[in-house]
Amino acid sequence: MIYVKELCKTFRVARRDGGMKNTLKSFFHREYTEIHALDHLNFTIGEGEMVGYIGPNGAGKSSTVKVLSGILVPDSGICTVGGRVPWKERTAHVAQIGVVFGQRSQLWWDVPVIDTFTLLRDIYSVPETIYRRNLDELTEMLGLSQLLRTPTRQLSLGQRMRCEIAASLIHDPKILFLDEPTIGLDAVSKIAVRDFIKARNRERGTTVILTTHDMQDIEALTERILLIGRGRILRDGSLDALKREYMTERHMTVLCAGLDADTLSLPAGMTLSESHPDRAVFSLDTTVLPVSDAIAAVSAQTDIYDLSVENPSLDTLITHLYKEYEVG
Amino acid sequence: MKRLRKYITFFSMRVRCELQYRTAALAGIATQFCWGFMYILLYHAFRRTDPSAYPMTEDQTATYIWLQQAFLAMFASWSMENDLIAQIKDGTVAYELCRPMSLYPMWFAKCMASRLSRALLRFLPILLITGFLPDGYRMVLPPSPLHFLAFFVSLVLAFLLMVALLMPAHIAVFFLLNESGIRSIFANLVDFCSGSLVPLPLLPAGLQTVLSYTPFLYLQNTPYLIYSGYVPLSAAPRYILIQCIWLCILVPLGAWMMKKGLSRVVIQGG
Amino acid sequence: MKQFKKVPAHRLYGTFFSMHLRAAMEYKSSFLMSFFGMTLTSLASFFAIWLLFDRFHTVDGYTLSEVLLCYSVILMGFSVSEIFLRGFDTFAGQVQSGSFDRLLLRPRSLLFSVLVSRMEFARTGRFLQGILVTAYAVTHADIVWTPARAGAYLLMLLGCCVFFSSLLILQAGVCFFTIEGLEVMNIFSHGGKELGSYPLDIYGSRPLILFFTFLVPLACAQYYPFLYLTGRADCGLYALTPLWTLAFLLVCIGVWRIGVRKYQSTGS
Repeated sequence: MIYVKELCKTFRVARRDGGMKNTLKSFFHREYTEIHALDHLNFTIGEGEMVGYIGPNGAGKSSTVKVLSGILVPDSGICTVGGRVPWKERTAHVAQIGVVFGQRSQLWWDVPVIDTFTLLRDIYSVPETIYRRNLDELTEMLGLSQLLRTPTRQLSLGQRMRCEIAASLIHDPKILFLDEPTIGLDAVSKIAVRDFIKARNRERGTTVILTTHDMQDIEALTERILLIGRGRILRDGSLDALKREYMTERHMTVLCAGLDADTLSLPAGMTLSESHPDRAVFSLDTTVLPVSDAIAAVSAQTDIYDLSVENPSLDTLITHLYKEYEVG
Repeated sequence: MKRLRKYITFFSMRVRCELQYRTAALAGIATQFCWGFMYILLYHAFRRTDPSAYPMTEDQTATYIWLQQAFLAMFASWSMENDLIAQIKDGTVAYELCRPMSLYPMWFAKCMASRLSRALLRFLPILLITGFLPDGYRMVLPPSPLHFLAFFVSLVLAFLLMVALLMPAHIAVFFLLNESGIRSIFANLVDFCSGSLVPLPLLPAGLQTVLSYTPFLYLQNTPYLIYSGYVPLSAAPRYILIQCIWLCILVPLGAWMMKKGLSRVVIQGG
Repeated sequence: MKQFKKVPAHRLYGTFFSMHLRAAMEYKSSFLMSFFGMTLTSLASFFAIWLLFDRFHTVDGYTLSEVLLCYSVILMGFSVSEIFLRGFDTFAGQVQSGSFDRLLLRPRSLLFSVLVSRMEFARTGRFLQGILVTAYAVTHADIVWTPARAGAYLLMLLGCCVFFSSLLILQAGVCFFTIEGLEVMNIFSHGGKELGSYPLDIYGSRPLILFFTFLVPLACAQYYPFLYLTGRADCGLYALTPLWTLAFLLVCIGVWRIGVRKYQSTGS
């Protein structure tokens, strides 16, 4: 479906330094720096896949999405989407894709949502029967029936995003690009949006590419992750594999009769990170020490009343990843 | 003293901002040249048609137009402070009340700074180049150093007067919550009545008399006419005095309006 | 992949037109304010001409009603371009805010997408004022109306619409290369509007007329047909010069296309 090989894109940016002297200097002479937004980028995405495209700001995420959607022409390399070169056959290409920008609306602010939809129907030349069918389906799945007659400006952020997503799908695109689709949404709306995207992918086989900083989105939606940094793919694999590799640390909290930090003896791979009269927090390295052994070691030295083991958050995982690859 | 330094820092920041946009400055200068030429050619055409009805000399006309172009940014009637207007419209201006500075002088200074910083970059090149144009199109020197002195004092006062007039226009947004109508009414009124559309001496005498009872005649029109000697030096002190009187009326009026406007914001709950 | 029968552009334009109209009507008071504000703007320049003629009566042999004929046709052409090509007029903002990226995602010609992206009905105030001034000028000027002259007038009006529309497209094209320097375009658009308020020869500058004939064809749109209309020129070719603005339009669209290509390769 999507095939990217050795894609390169370089931008030239004017340098600006602070201070009156430098400002005056740059008034007459300007220096430029080159930024390799895409630096020999390679990946393929199959039909019906859901892929999370992650990376720190400025890593090349939006440049990639722009190339894939036909907005940006790369310097060199090959890129085809559904057999087409996006920027060479722009109109034919964009008729097959849908794009949702979390922070940029395509709905008309002052007219009812349904009017934007009929306009999009004509822009994309969707025949009436197919339009009806899609609209009914989207209305039902996203719960839009109360919203369609309301002007966009009167909708809440969550309601608007649901309409936004429907607007991007009215023409049945084969590929859906989602850019921060849940940014600023409340918990209920987030879950509704995620559920819908999952269902759409399952039922229509729509290929979904998701760029986001929200790791919960990634966890809920995608099995495969593409990590980009400095214009290259640094890591291409499943979220589970990443978790197995990087999330080896556990936090174990123990409510107990009392522990003496000085006399405590702990096996390798286990350290005491917090100690209170009736409570202690340990951090475990599960590659060295299985959780059951850790529990055994503590219970041998005190009475355990209650116990919980937690994974560190996905955000911590990503921080680790960025650090390991020296990006971000 | 400390407060003054705050204004100076703010001003130098604005100048630095403007300096970054060298292309904009060059484009502005080029545009103003063309406009200046266009107007000079137009008024020369009227002068050719009926020299007896034309009150100014060729030099006076050209000088008036070039001064106008050089100091355009200072007297630009249509440019308002967009961030201030945004503050009023979304109600965040209420937070400004928590600051230890009073708002009117602060806004006055902001308005002055953004205008001066833009003018600073543009007026010298225009004045320098237009000084070397052929006869009839050239910007000439004032008749005497005293003329120049009077021009300078009057220019400063006219600028302060312009900002003092702009303040109520900004404050009106408190009451109407929409600036586009205010902007066009204000801009057209000021442009027409202060001579930036047609130099005031070319208007019918009756209209000029009417305008002399308003502050508009004492904006840019006054210093430019003093510079070229159209207003005799002996009359200059009278014009300068009237400028001062208008300032004494408009500044307290603006400050009072602002107080009223702010109380509205507080009542509405911002 | 499936291909649907394309909805024709004129029908889509109609849909956009009614959407813009309805959106504008959502804020009636703001609409009226801008409407009157716009009318006022051109009223001031109309007043300026009026008062200058109060003092001088003629300029270089042209009467007030003849000058007003020039002024009004320019005003109408200018306001038509402002109403319908607002998308190009505000194009720099659309590029900066990323709205243009949205348009690139539409399966329609870019020129069309930008054309329908904005319409500014509040500017009809100026157009109406243009009609009123035209009515005054036509009834007061000493013009012997013949079918040929009426045709020349219509061509002149069309030429002015095309001329100012071309300038807005050119301006949109230029903003791909420099946004800061965009103000220069005002020399031609607003400058052209001001210059064209009078017959171009009163400025007494030959280079000026040549420039506005061959490079920026304002004179072709308005000055030459005006000479024909008022009987100052007999040659029928003078009446046909507005057609030359169509060539100018093509050039401006070309520049815009080059700009779009540059945008797509640099992303800025």
